[in-house]
Amino acid sequence: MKNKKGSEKYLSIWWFFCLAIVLTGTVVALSRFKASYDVAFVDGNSLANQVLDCVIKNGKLVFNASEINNIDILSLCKIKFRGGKDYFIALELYDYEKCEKLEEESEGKELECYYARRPVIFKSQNPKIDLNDRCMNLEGIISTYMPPCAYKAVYTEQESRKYILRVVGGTYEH
Amino acid sequence: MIKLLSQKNKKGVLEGTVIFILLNVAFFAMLIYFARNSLTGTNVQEKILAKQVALFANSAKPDTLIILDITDYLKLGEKNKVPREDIVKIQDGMVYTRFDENSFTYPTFSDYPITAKISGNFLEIHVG
Repeated sequence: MKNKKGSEKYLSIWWFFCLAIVLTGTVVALSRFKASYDVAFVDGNSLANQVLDCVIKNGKLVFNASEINNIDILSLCKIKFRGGKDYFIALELYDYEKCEKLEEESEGKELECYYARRPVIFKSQNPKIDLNDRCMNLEGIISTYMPPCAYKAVYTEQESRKYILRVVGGTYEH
Repeated sequence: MIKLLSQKNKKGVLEGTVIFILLNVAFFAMLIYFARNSLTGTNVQEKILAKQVALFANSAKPDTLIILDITDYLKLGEKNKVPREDIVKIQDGMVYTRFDENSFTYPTFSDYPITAKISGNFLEIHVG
């Protein structure tokens, strides 16, 4: 060991191992920084807001609740999905009376008062993440690898029947 | 003879140390350059401006005029000899930004007509 030359001493496998750790650390830190200008949540939020603004006017639904599956959300809300990103919108109507009753009866349990659901999905050719799955099935899970979705819920009514309208918006940039 | 060998040995150690230091300096210089480029490079600035413009346009109601101060971005474009009108533009709902030979594109989802115009040091985004 004592007779080793400087180059042999320092340019050992251990030194390369240390450099690899430094390099990995830097790359990981930089990729974490890149997440700071990921605007998926803000984008999803403004998508949900735009939908909410156009489907409710003066507290009332602009479409017939029973025909929720037939409405063309995109043309109604002046939305056009363009390439380079995945988009997800879902409208969920809940029966307000039923929800209230269920909440009283089964405290802490998940509400089962769905009236109807209308999802609109725009997928690219090879999506890495299924936004429908991300926004609906994995709701509440926070992960740096998955884009967050935005959820908005408001009370609304139509022909004296009360509903809770929940709008989900999500975008995913490749 | 022993003295000569010892001097030769010392020289070898010195050379090794110098090579080691030079390699380390080169490695860390590259690392710093890469980190600096990743954090403040033109490609990052292009992304930030395009996303900013797209988010403003998406969240605006019809007949809205948004005025954005883009002085720093204009300086960056001028530094890289990019024509002013190419620094940021909106065509068919797509936001294009360019601060060097490469450009960045980011889509908006609003179907209202969106136009962008550079006036002085400001960018005027009109959502119609």
